[in-house]
Amino acid sequence: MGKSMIKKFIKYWTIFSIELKNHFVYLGDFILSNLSIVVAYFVSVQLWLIGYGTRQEMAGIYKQELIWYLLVVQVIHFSVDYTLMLNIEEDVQSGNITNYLNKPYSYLLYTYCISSGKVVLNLIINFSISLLMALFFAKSFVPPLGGVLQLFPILFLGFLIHFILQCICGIAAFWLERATVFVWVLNTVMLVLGGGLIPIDAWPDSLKPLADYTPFSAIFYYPAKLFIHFKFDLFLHFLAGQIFWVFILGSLLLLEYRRAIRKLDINGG
Amino acid sequence: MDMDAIEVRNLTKTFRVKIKPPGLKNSFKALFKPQYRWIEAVKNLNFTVKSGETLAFIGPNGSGKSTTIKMLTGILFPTSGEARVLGFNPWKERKKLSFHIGSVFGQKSQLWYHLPPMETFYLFSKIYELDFHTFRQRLDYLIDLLEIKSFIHTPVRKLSLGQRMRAELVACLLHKPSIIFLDEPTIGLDVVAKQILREHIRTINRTEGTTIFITSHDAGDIETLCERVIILNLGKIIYDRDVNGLKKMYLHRRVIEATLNTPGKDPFTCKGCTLLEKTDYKLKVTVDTHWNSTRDVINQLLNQYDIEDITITEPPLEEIIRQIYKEQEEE
Repeated sequence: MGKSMIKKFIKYWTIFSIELKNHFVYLGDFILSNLSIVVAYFVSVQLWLIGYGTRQEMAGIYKQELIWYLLVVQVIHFSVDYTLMLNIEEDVQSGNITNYLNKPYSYLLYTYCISSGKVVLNLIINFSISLLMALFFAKSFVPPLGGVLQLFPILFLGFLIHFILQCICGIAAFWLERATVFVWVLNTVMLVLGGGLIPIDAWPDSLKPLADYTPFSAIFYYPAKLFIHFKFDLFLHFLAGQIFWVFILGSLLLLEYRRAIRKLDINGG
Repeated sequence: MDMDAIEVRNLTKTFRVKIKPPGLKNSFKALFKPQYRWIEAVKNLNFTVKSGETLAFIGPNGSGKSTTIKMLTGILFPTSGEARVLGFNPWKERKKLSFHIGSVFGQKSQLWYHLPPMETFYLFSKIYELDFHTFRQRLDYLIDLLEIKSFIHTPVRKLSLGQRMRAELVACLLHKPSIIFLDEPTIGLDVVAKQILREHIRTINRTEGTTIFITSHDAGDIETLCERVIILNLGKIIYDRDVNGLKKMYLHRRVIEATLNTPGKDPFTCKGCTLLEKTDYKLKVTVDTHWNSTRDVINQLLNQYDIEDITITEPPLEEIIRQIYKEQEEE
Protein backbone atom coordinates (compact mmCIF):
# COMPACT_ATOMS: atom_id res chain seq x y z
CA MET A 1 0.00 0.00 0.00
CA GLY A 2 1.53 3.33 -1.05
CA LYS A 3 1.96 6.28 1.28
CA SER A 4 -0.83 8.24 -0.40
CA MET A 5 -3.19 5.26 -0.07
CA ILE A 6 -2.45 5.10 3.67
CA LYS A 7 -3.18 8.84 3.97
CA LYS A 8 -6.47 8.36 2.12
CA PHE A 9 -7.41 5.45 4.37
CA ILE A 10 -6.61 7.50 7.50
CA LYS A 11 -8.66 10.39 6.06
CA TYR A 12 -11.81 8.28 5.68
CA TRP A 13 -11.19 6.41 8.94
CA THR A 14 -11.07 9.77 10.78
CA ILE A 15 -14.36 10.81 9.15
CA PHE A 16 -15.90 7.53 10.32
CA SER A 17 -14.54 7.92 13.86
CA ILE A 18 -15.65 11.55 14.23
CA GLU A 19 -19.20 10.43 13.43
CA LEU A 20 -18.91 7.80 16.18
CA LYS A 21 -17.67 10.48 18.61
CA ASN A 22 -20.56 12.69 17.56
CA HIS A 23 -23.03 10.00 18.65
CA PHE A 24 -21.17 9.34 21.89
CA VAL A 25 -22.00 12.91 22.98
CA TYR A 26 -25.61 11.82 23.41
CA LEU A 27 -25.12 8.09 23.85
CA GLY A 28 -28.00 7.83 26.33
CA ASP A 29 -30.43 9.42 23.86
CA PHE A 30 -29.02 7.25 21.09
CA ILE A 31 -29.61 4.04 23.08
CA LEU A 32 -33.14 5.14 24.01
CA SER A 33 -33.96 5.88 20.37
CA ASN A 34 -32.97 2.29 19.55
CA LEU A 35 -35.26 0.73 22.15
CA SER A 36 -38.13 0.47 19.63
CA ILE A 37 -36.48 -2.75 18.47
CA VAL A 38 -37.67 -4.37 21.72
CA VAL A 39 -41.32 -3.83 20.77
CA ALA A 40 -40.86 -4.72 17.09
CA TYR A 41 -38.90 -7.88 17.86
CA PHE A 42 -41.29 -8.97 20.59
CA VAL A 43 -44.36 -8.49 18.36
CA SER A 44 -42.87 -10.28 15.36
CA VAL A 45 -41.75 -13.24 17.51
CA GLN A 46 -45.22 -13.51 19.07
CA LEU A 47 -46.94 -13.38 15.66
CA TRP A 48 -44.72 -16.12 14.30
CA LEU A 49 -45.21 -18.27 17.39
CA ILE A 50 -48.97 -18.05 16.80
CA GLY A 51 -48.37 -18.89 13.14
CA TYR A 52 -46.37 -21.99 14.08
CA GLY A 53 -49.05 -23.09 16.56
CA THR A 54 -48.23 -26.59 17.67
CA ARG A 55 -45.90 -27.19 14.71
CA GLN A 56 -42.18 -27.20 15.38
CA GLU A 57 -41.12 -26.67 11.77
CA MET A 58 -42.32 -24.68 8.73
CA ALA A 59 -40.67 -24.40 5.29
CA GLY A 60 -37.58 -26.11 6.65
CA ILE A 61 -37.15 -23.65 9.53
CA TYR A 62 -37.64 -24.75 13.14
CA LYS A 63 -39.43 -22.49 15.59
CA GLN A 64 -36.26 -21.83 17.61
CA GLU A 65 -34.33 -21.07 14.41
CA LEU A 66 -36.96 -18.63 13.25
CA ILE A 67 -36.63 -16.62 16.47
CA TRP A 68 -32.93 -16.15 15.67
CA TYR A 69 -33.70 -15.47 11.99
CA LEU A 70 -36.01 -12.67 13.15
CA LEU A 71 -33.29 -11.39 15.46
CA VAL A 72 -30.89 -10.93 12.54
CA VAL A 73 -33.42 -9.26 10.20
CA GLN A 74 -34.76 -6.96 12.93
CA VAL A 75 -31.26 -5.93 13.96
CA ILE A 76 -30.46 -5.12 10.29
CA HIS A 77 -33.78 -3.29 9.82
CA PHE A 78 -33.20 -1.13 12.89
CA SER A 79 -29.53 -0.52 12.17
CA VAL A 80 -29.44 0.50 8.51
CA ASP A 81 -29.40 4.22 7.80
CA TYR A 82 -32.86 4.98 6.44
CA THR A 83 -32.25 8.74 6.78
CA LEU A 84 -29.39 8.66 4.30
CA MET A 85 -31.59 9.37 1.28
CA LEU A 86 -33.19 12.33 3.06
CA ASN A 87 -29.80 13.64 4.16
CA ILE A 88 -28.49 13.63 0.60
CA GLU A 89 -31.64 15.37 -0.61
CA GLU A 90 -31.25 17.95 2.16
CA ASP A 91 -27.57 18.50 1.24
CA VAL A 92 -28.48 19.08 -2.40
CA GLN A 93 -31.50 21.28 -1.83
CA SER A 94 -30.12 23.41 1.01
CA GLY A 95 -26.84 23.91 -0.82
CA ASN A 96 -24.93 22.32 2.09
CA ILE A 97 -23.28 20.09 -0.46
CA THR A 98 -20.97 23.05 -1.21
CA ASN A 99 -19.21 22.43 2.10
CA TYR A 100 -18.40 18.88 0.98
CA LEU A 101 -17.57 19.41 -2.68
CA ASN A 102 -14.82 21.95 -2.02
CA LYS A 103 -12.78 19.53 0.09
CA PRO A 104 -10.21 17.00 -1.08
CA TYR A 105 -12.36 13.90 -0.64
CA SER A 106 -15.05 12.03 -2.47
CA TYR A 107 -18.54 13.09 -1.41
CA LEU A 108 -19.79 9.52 -1.80
CA LEU A 109 -17.02 8.04 0.36
CA TYR A 110 -17.49 10.82 2.91
CA THR A 111 -21.21 10.01 3.07
CA TYR A 112 -20.40 6.31 3.35
CA CYS A 113 -18.08 6.91 6.33
CA ILE A 114 -20.64 9.09 8.08
CA SER A 115 -23.42 6.59 7.45
CA SER A 116 -21.23 3.68 8.57
CA GLY A 117 -20.42 5.42 11.85
CA LYS A 118 -24.13 5.54 12.63
CA VAL A 119 -24.79 1.99 11.38
CA VAL A 120 -21.98 0.40 13.42
CA LEU A 121 -23.19 1.99 16.64
CA ASN A 122 -26.81 1.06 15.86
CA LEU A 123 -25.69 -2.49 15.16
CA ILE A 124 -23.87 -2.88 18.47
CA ILE A 125 -26.76 -1.44 20.50
CA ASN A 126 -29.54 -3.30 18.65
CA PHE A 127 -27.68 -6.58 18.65
CA SER A 128 -26.97 -6.35 22.40
CA ILE A 129 -30.62 -5.59 23.19
CA SER A 130 -32.19 -8.23 20.98
CA LEU A 131 -29.61 -10.89 21.85
CA LEU A 132 -30.93 -10.91 25.41
CA MET A 133 -34.48 -11.30 24.09
CA ALA A 134 -33.53 -14.08 21.66
CA LEU A 135 -31.79 -15.96 24.48
CA PHE A 136 -34.99 -15.66 26.51
CA PHE A 137 -37.29 -16.89 23.70
CA ALA A 138 -35.05 -19.62 22.23
CA LYS A 139 -32.28 -20.47 24.62
CA SER A 140 -31.82 -24.00 23.30
CA PHE A 141 -30.66 -22.88 19.84
CA VAL A 142 -26.91 -22.52 19.40
CA PRO A 143 -25.95 -20.81 16.12
CA PRO A 144 -23.19 -22.57 14.16
CA LEU A 145 -19.76 -20.93 14.39
CA GLY A 146 -19.77 -20.35 10.60
CA GLY A 147 -23.16 -18.67 11.01
CA VAL A 148 -21.66 -16.17 13.42
CA LEU A 149 -18.43 -15.59 11.49
CA GLN A 150 -20.19 -15.10 8.14
CA LEU A 151 -21.95 -12.09 9.63
CA PHE A 152 -18.82 -9.98 9.24
CA PRO A 153 -18.44 -10.13 5.41
CA ILE A 154 -22.12 -10.72 4.61
CA LEU A 155 -23.42 -7.92 6.84
CA PHE A 156 -20.70 -5.57 5.56
CA LEU A 157 -21.68 -6.18 1.93
CA GLY A 158 -25.41 -6.11 2.77
CA PHE A 159 -25.04 -2.70 4.40
CA LEU A 160 -22.99 -1.54 1.42
CA ILE A 161 -25.77 -2.58 -0.97
CA HIS A 162 -28.30 -0.77 1.22
CA PHE A 163 -26.07 2.33 1.21
CA ILE A 164 -25.74 2.28 -2.58
CA LEU A 165 -29.51 1.91 -3.08
CA GLN A 166 -30.20 4.80 -0.71
CA CYS A 167 -27.60 6.94 -2.51
CA ILE A 168 -29.03 6.15 -5.95
CA CYS A 169 -32.43 7.44 -4.79
CA GLY A 170 -31.00 10.36 -2.77
CA ILE A 171 -28.92 11.63 -5.67
CA ALA A 172 -32.08 11.71 -7.78
CA ALA A 173 -32.68 14.97 -5.87
CA PHE A 174 -30.35 16.56 -8.42
CA TRP A 175 -33.11 16.06 -10.99
CA LEU A 176 -36.29 15.70 -8.96
CA GLU A 177 -37.63 18.30 -6.60
CA ARG A 178 -38.16 15.72 -3.90
CA ALA A 179 -36.35 12.41 -3.67
CA THR A 180 -38.39 11.58 -0.58
CA VAL A 181 -41.06 10.07 -2.84
CA PHE A 182 -38.82 7.02 -2.91
CA VAL A 183 -38.36 6.70 0.84
CA TRP A 184 -41.49 4.81 1.72
CA VAL A 185 -41.59 2.72 -1.47
CA LEU A 186 -37.93 1.70 -1.36
CA ASN A 187 -37.83 0.96 2.34
CA THR A 188 -41.02 -1.12 2.28
CA VAL A 189 -40.10 -3.01 -0.88
CA MET A 190 -36.64 -3.66 0.52
CA LEU A 191 -37.98 -5.16 3.72
CA VAL A 192 -40.73 -7.26 2.10
CA LEU A 193 -38.82 -8.53 -0.95
CA GLY A 194 -35.65 -8.89 1.09
CA GLY A 195 -37.19 -11.54 3.34
CA GLY A 196 -37.32 -9.16 6.27
CA LEU A 197 -40.89 -10.06 7.20
CA ILE A 198 -41.22 -13.60 5.87
CA PRO A 199 -38.17 -15.81 5.18
CA ILE A 200 -37.83 -16.50 1.45
CA ASP A 201 -37.98 -20.27 2.24
CA ALA A 202 -41.62 -19.76 3.19
CA TRP A 203 -42.57 -17.86 0.01
CA PRO A 204 -44.66 -19.57 -2.69
CA ASP A 205 -42.40 -21.14 -5.34
CA SER A 206 -43.73 -18.74 -8.01
CA LEU A 207 -42.44 -15.74 -6.05
CA LYS A 208 -39.05 -17.10 -5.06
CA PRO A 209 -37.26 -15.97 -8.28
CA LEU A 210 -38.08 -12.39 -7.23
CA ALA A 211 -35.52 -12.75 -4.48
CA ASP A 212 -32.87 -13.78 -6.99
CA TYR A 213 -33.58 -10.96 -9.43
CA THR A 214 -33.58 -8.15 -6.87
CA PRO A 215 -30.75 -7.04 -4.56
CA PHE A 216 -32.93 -6.79 -1.43
CA SER A 217 -32.47 -10.37 -0.22
CA ALA A 218 -28.72 -9.70 -0.14
CA ILE A 219 -29.40 -7.21 2.65
CA PHE A 220 -31.78 -9.13 4.92
CA TYR A 221 -32.19 -12.76 3.90
CA TYR A 222 -28.56 -13.76 3.18
CA PRO A 223 -27.11 -12.99 6.64
CA ALA A 224 -30.20 -14.28 8.51
CA LYS A 225 -30.40 -17.51 6.51
CA LEU A 226 -26.67 -18.22 6.90
CA PHE A 227 -26.92 -17.47 10.62
CA ILE A 228 -29.37 -20.31 11.19
CA HIS A 229 -28.44 -22.71 8.34
CA PHE A 230 -24.77 -22.14 7.62
CA LYS A 231 -23.31 -24.11 4.71
CA PHE A 232 -20.03 -23.12 3.15
CA ASP A 233 -21.20 -23.50 -0.48
CA LEU A 234 -24.30 -21.41 0.31
CA PHE A 235 -22.04 -18.79 1.89
CA LEU A 236 -19.93 -18.62 -1.29
CA HIS A 237 -23.07 -18.44 -3.43
CA PHE A 238 -24.48 -15.55 -1.37
CA LEU A 239 -21.10 -13.79 -1.26
CA ALA A 240 -20.84 -13.96 -5.06
CA GLY A 241 -24.41 -12.61 -5.32
CA GLN A 242 -23.58 -9.68 -3.07
CA ILE A 243 -20.38 -8.87 -4.98
CA PHE A 244 -22.41 -8.97 -8.20
CA TRP A 245 -24.95 -6.46 -6.82
CA VAL A 246 -22.24 -4.21 -5.38
CA PHE A 247 -20.60 -4.11 -8.81
CA ILE A 248 -23.81 -3.47 -10.77
CA LEU A 249 -25.39 -0.95 -8.37
CA GLY A 250 -22.05 0.69 -7.58
CA SER A 251 -21.41 1.31 -11.30
CA LEU A 252 -24.91 2.72 -11.65
CA LEU A 253 -24.35 5.03 -8.70
CA LEU A 254 -21.03 6.32 -10.04
CA LEU A 255 -22.59 6.95 -13.43
CA GLU A 256 -25.52 8.79 -11.84
CA TYR A 257 -23.24 10.78 -9.52
CA ARG A 258 -20.95 11.96 -12.34
CA ARG A 259 -23.95 13.19 -14.32
CA ALA A 260 -25.52 14.75 -11.23
CA ILE A 261 -22.43 16.76 -10.33
CA ARG A 262 -22.35 18.26 -13.80
CA LYS A 263 -25.89 19.47 -13.52
CA LEU A 264 -25.68 20.76 -9.98
CA ASP A 265 -27.72 23.96 -9.65
CA ILE A 266 -27.32 25.73 -6.36
CA ASN A 267 -29.06 28.99 -5.82
CA GLY A 268 -27.06 31.83 -4.36
CA GLY A 269 -26.59 32.48 -0.67
CA MET B 1 2.63 39.67 -5.77
CA ASP B 2 2.34 40.09 -9.52
CA MET B 3 1.14 36.61 -10.42
CA ASP B 4 -2.57 36.27 -11.10
CA ALA B 5 -4.22 34.09 -8.49
CA ILE B 6 -7.52 34.09 -10.35
CA GLU B 7 -8.14 34.58 -14.03
CA VAL B 8 -11.66 34.60 -15.41
CA ARG B 9 -12.51 34.82 -19.12
CA ASN B 10 -16.04 35.08 -20.54
CA LEU B 11 -17.50 33.05 -17.68
CA THR B 12 -21.21 32.37 -18.08
CA LYS B 13 -23.62 30.24 -16.08
CA THR B 14 -27.18 29.60 -17.12
CA PHE B 15 -29.74 27.77 -14.98
CA ARG B 16 -32.91 26.09 -16.16
CA VAL B 17 -35.83 26.83 -13.84
CA LYS B 18 -39.21 25.11 -13.96
CA ILE B 19 -42.16 27.45 -14.41
CA LYS B 20 -45.08 26.74 -12.13
CA PRO B 21 -48.30 28.13 -13.61
CA PRO B 22 -51.08 28.95 -11.13
CA GLY B 23 -54.17 26.76 -10.71
CA LEU B 24 -54.78 23.05 -10.29
CA LYS B 25 -55.43 22.46 -14.00
CA ASN B 26 -52.16 24.05 -15.01
CA SER B 27 -50.28 22.17 -12.29
CA PHE B 28 -51.67 18.92 -13.70
CA LYS B 29 -50.71 19.97 -17.25
CA ALA B 30 -47.19 20.80 -16.06
CA LEU B 31 -46.78 17.22 -14.86
CA PHE B 32 -46.85 16.00 -18.46
CA LYS B 33 -45.57 19.04 -20.28
CA PRO B 34 -43.30 20.96 -17.93
CA GLN B 35 -42.23 24.41 -19.02
CA TYR B 36 -38.88 25.92 -18.25
CA ARG B 37 -37.21 29.27 -18.45
CA TRP B 38 -33.52 29.99 -18.54
CA ILE B 39 -31.83 32.30 -16.06
CA GLU B 40 -28.46 33.76 -16.85
CA ALA B 41 -26.99 33.92 -13.35
CA VAL B 42 -23.55 35.03 -14.57
CA LYS B 43 -23.00 36.75 -17.91
CA ASN B 44 -19.66 36.83 -19.62
CA LEU B 45 -17.50 37.74 -16.62
CA ASN B 46 -13.93 38.87 -17.18
CA PHE B 47 -11.55 39.75 -14.36
CA THR B 48 -8.26 38.82 -12.75
CA VAL B 49 -7.20 38.84 -9.12
CA LYS B 50 -3.55 39.29 -8.24
CA SER B 51 -1.85 37.09 -5.71
CA GLY B 52 -2.12 38.66 -2.24
CA GLU B 53 -4.92 41.02 -3.27
CA THR B 54 -8.03 41.58 -1.13
CA LEU B 55 -11.05 41.75 -3.38
CA ALA B 56 -14.63 42.52 -2.44
CA PHE B 57 -17.07 40.85 -4.78
CA ILE B 58 -20.39 42.47 -4.05
CA GLY B 59 -23.86 42.88 -5.46
CA PRO B 60 -27.53 42.68 -4.52
CA ASN B 61 -29.18 39.30 -3.88
CA GLY B 62 -29.37 37.23 -7.05
CA SER B 63 -26.59 39.16 -8.76
CA GLY B 64 -24.47 36.04 -9.31
CA LYS B 65 -21.83 36.43 -6.54
CA SER B 66 -22.27 33.03 -4.95
CA THR B 67 -22.62 31.33 -8.32
CA THR B 68 -19.25 32.82 -9.33
CA ILE B 69 -17.59 31.67 -6.09
CA LYS B 70 -19.01 28.19 -6.59
CA MET B 71 -17.59 28.07 -10.10
CA LEU B 72 -14.21 29.32 -8.91
CA THR B 73 -14.09 26.63 -6.20
CA GLY B 74 -15.06 23.94 -8.72
CA ILE B 75 -18.48 23.19 -7.23
CA LEU B 76 -20.44 24.37 -10.25
CA PHE B 77 -19.66 23.77 -13.90
CA PRO B 78 -19.99 26.90 -16.06
CA THR B 79 -22.16 26.97 -19.16
CA SER B 80 -19.28 28.56 -21.06
CA GLY B 81 -16.04 30.44 -20.48
CA GLU B 82 -12.74 29.76 -18.79
CA ALA B 83 -11.28 30.21 -15.34
CA ARG B 84 -7.90 29.45 -13.79
CA VAL B 85 -7.47 29.52 -10.04
CA LEU B 86 -3.81 29.19 -8.99
CA GLY B 87 -3.23 27.73 -12.42
CA PHE B 88 -5.90 25.01 -12.00
CA ASN B 89 -9.10 24.64 -13.93
CA PRO B 90 -11.49 24.60 -10.94
CA TRP B 91 -14.18 22.28 -12.28
CA LYS B 92 -11.80 19.87 -13.96
CA GLU B 93 -9.19 19.80 -11.17
CA ARG B 94 -11.46 20.38 -8.19
CA LYS B 95 -9.71 18.00 -5.78
CA LYS B 96 -6.19 19.24 -6.61
CA LEU B 97 -7.33 22.84 -6.25
CA SER B 98 -9.05 22.15 -2.93
CA PHE B 99 -5.66 21.53 -1.28
CA HIS B 100 -4.71 25.16 -2.05
CA ILE B 101 -7.89 27.07 -1.30
CA GLY B 102 -10.03 27.59 1.77
CA SER B 103 -13.56 28.80 2.15
CA VAL B 104 -15.92 30.07 4.80
CA PHE B 105 -19.59 30.28 3.97
CA GLY B 106 -21.05 32.51 6.68
CA GLN B 107 -24.42 30.80 6.57
CA LYS B 108 -23.15 27.22 6.33
CA SER B 109 -20.93 25.93 9.09
CA GLN B 110 -18.25 23.33 8.50
CA LEU B 111 -17.67 22.71 12.21
CA TRP B 112 -19.20 19.67 13.96
CA TYR B 113 -22.00 21.18 15.99
CA HIS B 114 -21.94 18.84 19.00
CA LEU B 115 -18.16 18.48 19.19
CA PRO B 116 -15.47 20.98 20.21
CA PRO B 117 -13.70 22.86 17.35
CA MET B 118 -10.54 20.86 18.13
CA GLU B 119 -12.22 17.72 16.74
CA THR B 120 -12.99 19.47 13.44
CA PHE B 121 -9.42 20.80 13.27
CA TYR B 122 -8.06 17.27 13.76
CA LEU B 123 -10.43 15.95 11.10
CA PHE B 124 -9.38 18.69 8.68
CA SER B 125 -5.71 17.89 9.29
CA LYS B 126 -6.45 14.37 8.04
CA ILE B 127 -8.67 15.57 5.18
CA TYR B 128 -5.91 17.88 3.96
CA GLU B 129 -3.34 15.13 4.58
CA LEU B 130 -1.15 17.19 6.94
CA ASP B 131 1.41 15.32 9.01
CA PHE B 132 0.97 15.62 12.75
CA HIS B 133 3.97 17.91 13.33
CA THR B 134 2.91 20.39 10.61
CA PHE B 135 -0.65 20.33 11.91
CA ARG B 136 0.38 20.99 15.54
CA GLN B 137 2.68 23.84 14.55
CA ARG B 138 0.10 25.47 12.30
CA LEU B 139 -2.69 25.02 14.83
CA ASP B 140 -0.62 26.58 17.64
CA TYR B 141 0.13 29.54 15.38
CA LEU B 142 -3.54 30.01 14.43
CA ILE B 143 -4.74 29.55 18.02
CA ASP B 144 -2.53 32.47 19.06
CA LEU B 145 -3.33 34.56 16.00
CA LEU B 146 -7.10 34.24 16.24
CA GLU B 147 -7.17 34.04 20.03
CA ILE B 148 -9.30 30.92 20.28
CA LYS B 149 -7.42 29.06 23.03
CA SER B 150 -10.12 29.63 25.64
CA PHE B 151 -12.85 27.78 23.71
CA ILE B 152 -11.02 25.24 21.58
CA HIS B 153 -12.37 22.38 23.73
CA THR B 154 -15.90 23.76 24.13
CA PRO B 155 -18.64 22.17 21.99
CA VAL B 156 -19.48 24.37 19.01
CA ARG B 157 -23.14 24.59 20.04
CA LYS B 158 -22.06 26.47 23.17
CA LEU B 159 -19.96 29.09 21.34
CA SER B 160 -21.09 32.59 20.47
CA LEU B 161 -21.42 33.36 16.76
CA GLY B 162 -18.27 35.48 16.89
CA GLN B 163 -16.27 32.65 18.47
CA ARG B 164 -17.72 30.20 15.98
CA MET B 165 -16.69 32.33 13.03
CA ARG B 166 -13.13 32.58 14.34
CA ALA B 167 -13.06 28.80 14.70
CA GLU B 168 -14.43 28.51 11.13
CA LEU B 169 -11.57 30.72 9.97
CA VAL B 170 -8.99 28.52 11.74
CA ALA B 171 -10.50 25.42 10.10
CA CYS B 172 -10.27 27.13 6.71
CA LEU B 173 -6.64 28.21 7.25
CA LEU B 174 -5.18 24.99 8.69
CA HIS B 175 -3.77 23.78 5.37
CA LYS B 176 -2.30 27.25 4.65
CA PRO B 177 -4.38 28.00 1.55
CA SER B 178 -3.15 30.54 -1.00
CA ILE B 179 -6.66 31.91 -1.55
CA ILE B 180 -9.57 32.09 0.85
CA PHE B 181 -13.11 32.59 -0.35
CA LEU B 182 -15.25 34.25 2.29
CA ASP B 183 -18.95 34.31 1.57
CA GLU B 184 -20.58 36.79 3.97
CA PRO B 185 -18.25 35.95 6.87
CA THR B 186 -19.56 38.65 9.20
CA ILE B 187 -23.26 37.93 8.73
CA GLY B 188 -25.13 38.07 12.03
CA LEU B 189 -22.12 39.23 14.07
CA ASP B 190 -22.28 42.16 16.48
CA VAL B 191 -20.14 45.27 15.88
CA VAL B 192 -17.28 44.13 18.14
CA ALA B 193 -17.16 40.58 16.77
CA LYS B 194 -17.21 41.95 13.20
CA GLN B 195 -14.28 44.21 13.97
CA ILE B 196 -12.26 41.40 15.57
CA LEU B 197 -12.88 39.06 12.63
CA ARG B 198 -11.94 41.76 10.11
CA GLU B 199 -8.68 42.45 11.95
CA HIS B 200 -7.81 38.75 11.88
CA ILE B 201 -8.54 38.46 8.17
CA ARG B 202 -6.38 41.51 7.49
CA THR B 203 -3.53 40.09 9.56
CA ILE B 204 -3.65 36.82 7.62
CA ASN B 205 -3.55 38.70 4.34
CA ARG B 206 -0.56 40.77 5.46
CA THR B 207 1.49 38.11 7.21
CA GLU B 208 0.88 35.20 4.84
CA GLY B 209 0.13 37.00 1.59
CA THR B 210 -3.14 35.09 1.31
CA THR B 211 -5.43 36.28 -1.47
CA ILE B 212 -8.81 37.23 -0.01
CA PHE B 213 -11.93 36.96 -2.14
CA ILE B 214 -14.86 38.19 -0.11
CA THR B 215 -18.55 38.65 -0.75
CA SER B 216 -20.51 40.69 1.73
CA HIS B 217 -23.52 42.93 2.09
CA ASP B 218 -21.70 44.80 4.82
CA ALA B 219 -19.96 47.94 3.56
CA GLY B 220 -17.73 47.85 6.66
CA ASP B 221 -16.16 44.59 5.47
CA ILE B 222 -15.29 46.20 2.16
CA GLU B 223 -14.06 49.45 3.65
CA THR B 224 -11.81 47.88 6.27
CA LEU B 225 -10.62 44.80 4.41
CA CYS B 226 -10.45 45.37 0.69
CA GLU B 227 -8.25 47.23 -1.74
CA ARG B 228 -10.45 46.57 -4.72
CA VAL B 229 -14.13 46.07 -5.32
CA ILE B 230 -16.05 44.37 -8.11
CA ILE B 231 -19.75 45.15 -8.17
CA LEU B 232 -22.00 42.66 -9.85
CA ASN B 233 -25.58 43.23 -10.88
CA LEU B 234 -27.82 40.84 -12.80
CA GLY B 235 -24.81 38.65 -13.52
CA LYS B 236 -22.68 41.42 -15.06
CA ILE B 237 -19.75 43.43 -13.72
CA ILE B 238 -20.85 47.03 -13.38
CA TYR B 239 -17.86 48.34 -11.43
CA ASP B 240 -14.27 47.12 -11.04
CA ARG B 241 -11.86 49.55 -9.34
CA ASP B 242 -10.08 50.20 -6.08
CA VAL B 243 -12.23 51.04 -3.06
CA ASN B 244 -10.85 54.60 -2.77
CA GLY B 245 -11.69 55.23 -6.42
CA LEU B 246 -15.23 54.11 -5.70
CA LYS B 247 -15.53 56.68 -2.95
CA LYS B 248 -14.01 59.50 -5.02
CA MET B 249 -16.21 58.73 -7.98
CA TYR B 250 -19.40 58.81 -5.98
CA LEU B 251 -18.50 61.15 -3.16
CA HIS B 252 -19.92 64.33 -4.55
CA ARG B 253 -22.29 64.61 -1.63
CA ARG B 254 -21.74 65.78 1.92
CA VAL B 255 -24.03 65.53 4.90
CA ILE B 256 -24.14 68.73 6.99
CA GLU B 257 -25.64 68.55 10.45
CA ALA B 258 -26.14 71.77 12.43
CA THR B 259 -27.13 72.19 16.08
CA LEU B 260 -28.93 75.48 16.70
CA ASN B 261 -28.80 77.75 19.79
CA THR B 262 -32.24 79.20 19.18
CA PRO B 263 -35.05 77.58 17.25
CA GLY B 264 -34.71 78.21 13.51
CA LYS B 265 -38.06 79.18 12.10
CA ASP B 266 -37.36 80.00 8.46
CA PRO B 267 -37.35 77.11 6.02
CA PHE B 268 -33.90 76.27 4.63
CA THR B 269 -33.62 76.26 0.85
CA CYS B 270 -30.34 76.21 -0.99
CA LYS B 271 -29.18 75.19 -4.50
CA GLY B 272 -28.09 71.52 -4.61
CA CYS B 273 -29.33 70.81 -1.08
CA THR B 274 -31.85 68.27 0.16
CA LEU B 275 -33.33 68.68 3.61
CA LEU B 276 -33.06 65.43 5.56
CA GLU B 277 -34.23 66.47 9.01
CA LYS B 278 -35.43 69.68 10.70
CA THR B 279 -36.44 70.20 14.30
CA ASP B 280 -36.33 73.36 16.43
CA TYR B 281 -32.70 72.84 17.39
CA LYS B 282 -31.40 70.54 14.64
CA LEU B 283 -30.98 70.74 10.88
CA LYS B 284 -29.62 68.04 8.57
CA VAL B 285 -29.06 68.55 4.82
CA THR B 286 -27.15 66.85 2.02
CA VAL B 287 -25.23 68.90 -0.51
CA ASP B 288 -24.51 67.79 -4.04
CA THR B 289 -21.10 69.38 -4.66
CA HIS B 290 -21.69 69.35 -8.41
CA TRP B 291 -24.29 72.07 -7.79
CA ASN B 292 -23.03 73.95 -4.78
CA SER B 293 -19.88 74.07 -2.64
CA THR B 294 -19.95 72.92 0.97
CA ARG B 295 -18.46 76.27 2.00
CA ASP B 296 -21.33 78.26 0.44
CA VAL B 297 -23.94 76.10 2.11
CA ILE B 298 -22.23 76.51 5.52
CA ASN B 299 -22.06 80.29 4.98
CA GLN B 300 -25.76 80.40 4.20
CA LEU B 301 -26.51 78.35 7.32
CA LEU B 302 -24.39 80.67 9.48
CA ASN B 303 -26.16 83.72 8.06
CA GLN B 304 -29.61 82.31 8.47
CA TYR B 305 -29.42 80.58 11.90
CA ASP B 306 -27.82 81.00 15.33
CA ILE B 307 -25.54 77.95 15.12
CA GLU B 308 -23.89 76.26 18.10
CA ASP B 309 -22.14 73.39 16.33
CA ILE B 310 -21.73 72.00 12.83
CA THR B 311 -20.51 68.63 11.49
CA ILE B 312 -19.75 67.59 7.92
CA THR B 313 -19.62 63.89 6.99
CA GLU B 314 -19.27 61.84 3.83
CA PRO B 315 -22.12 59.50 3.07
CA PRO B 316 -21.29 55.94 4.16
CA LEU B 317 -20.06 53.42 1.59
CA GLU B 318 -23.31 51.55 1.98
CA GLU B 319 -25.15 54.54 0.58
CA ILE B 320 -22.74 54.76 -2.34
CA ILE B 321 -23.29 51.11 -3.20
CA ARG B 322 -27.04 51.61 -2.93
CA GLN B 323 -26.73 54.52 -5.34
CA ILE B 324 -24.80 52.39 -7.85
CA TYR B 325 -27.46 49.66 -7.74
CA LYS B 326 -30.17 52.30 -8.16
CA GLU B 327 -28.47 53.88 -11.15
CA GLN B 328 -28.19 50.47 -12.78
CA GLU B 329 -31.86 49.74 -12.25
CA GLU B 330 -32.79 53.07 -13.79
CA GLU B 331 -30.63 52.35 -16.85
